[in-house]
Amino acid sequence: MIRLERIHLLSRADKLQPLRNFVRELASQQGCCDENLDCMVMAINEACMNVIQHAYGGREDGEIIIEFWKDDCELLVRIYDFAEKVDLQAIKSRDLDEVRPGGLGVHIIHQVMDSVEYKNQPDSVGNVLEMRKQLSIPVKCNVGTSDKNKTKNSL
Amino acid sequence: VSGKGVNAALLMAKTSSLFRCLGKRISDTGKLLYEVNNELCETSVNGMFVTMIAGLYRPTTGDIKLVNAGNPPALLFTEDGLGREFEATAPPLGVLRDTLYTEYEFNLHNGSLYIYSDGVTEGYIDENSMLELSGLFKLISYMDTKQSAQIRLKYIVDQFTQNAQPLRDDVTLLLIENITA
Repeated sequence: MIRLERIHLLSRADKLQPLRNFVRELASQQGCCDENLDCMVMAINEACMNVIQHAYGGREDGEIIIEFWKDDCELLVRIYDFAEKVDLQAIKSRDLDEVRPGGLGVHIIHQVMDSVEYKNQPDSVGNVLEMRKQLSIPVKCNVGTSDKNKTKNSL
Repeated sequence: VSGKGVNAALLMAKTSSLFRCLGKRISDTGKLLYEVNNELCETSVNGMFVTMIAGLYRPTTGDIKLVNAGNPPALLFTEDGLGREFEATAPPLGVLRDTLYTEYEFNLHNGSLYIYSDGVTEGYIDENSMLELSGLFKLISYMDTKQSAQIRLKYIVDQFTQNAQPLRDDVTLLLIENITA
């Protein structure tokens, strides 16, 4: 696998807009099909928002590191945080029959990505989210939108 | 440059001379480091090496081409607060003959490009903790970019020179910005 990028951002919601722009450009350059572009951006955005809200508990001085790796047509994204280790068993989507805003990030991530794995960082504090996606195979479920402006910080 | 003392100083002098001389006729930085590396491999003492980041910056367009040979990653702090790493794509100079050095190409826009030696990220900010890349990123994140480059660079260096911990390595820190932005 080739590492394409390694980027750092503070655990602040206002850093998600530049992150979305960055991911969109990178995925596009790497041959991500149009159907997947918005979904990928949304999934990574949601994953980082979860880190900000749940791992760092809204603390704005935490650090998030995102690595982008590529092997043939597969993109691997690793999102690292340095917050307290989270209970991996507790990470799950809420009941979708419950009609209310928010809390759908985990659901969206699982719908968009081919594989999703949460880990605790073995040698230090913090957690890692590892996600894989075949760039050329469209997302099966329609969780995204063709309008990039509709991508929100938290769903 | 690896090591200390006269041998290290001679190797550094040789490397900088090669870089200046060959750089006058080779504008491709990847090709330039390829030639410098082969010269060093032919003549340097076994086990000694030089890390280097070389590049071309065009202030009129903001375009940058950069090659990293075994140095800690250059860090581009973008205008909107992301930190992009440009890690080494090949080992240091003087290690392996015919090494290919891949160029990064990007635009500076209104960002700040920090290039530094390992003495910066391995500088001790207290008895037990090194600054590390994460610490450098956070320092940069909270700095006021309206302050002069000199003040900001001094602020970073002060973190590991203005405490009780002795410096354990030499320190080089370079900041590239578009001052007309």
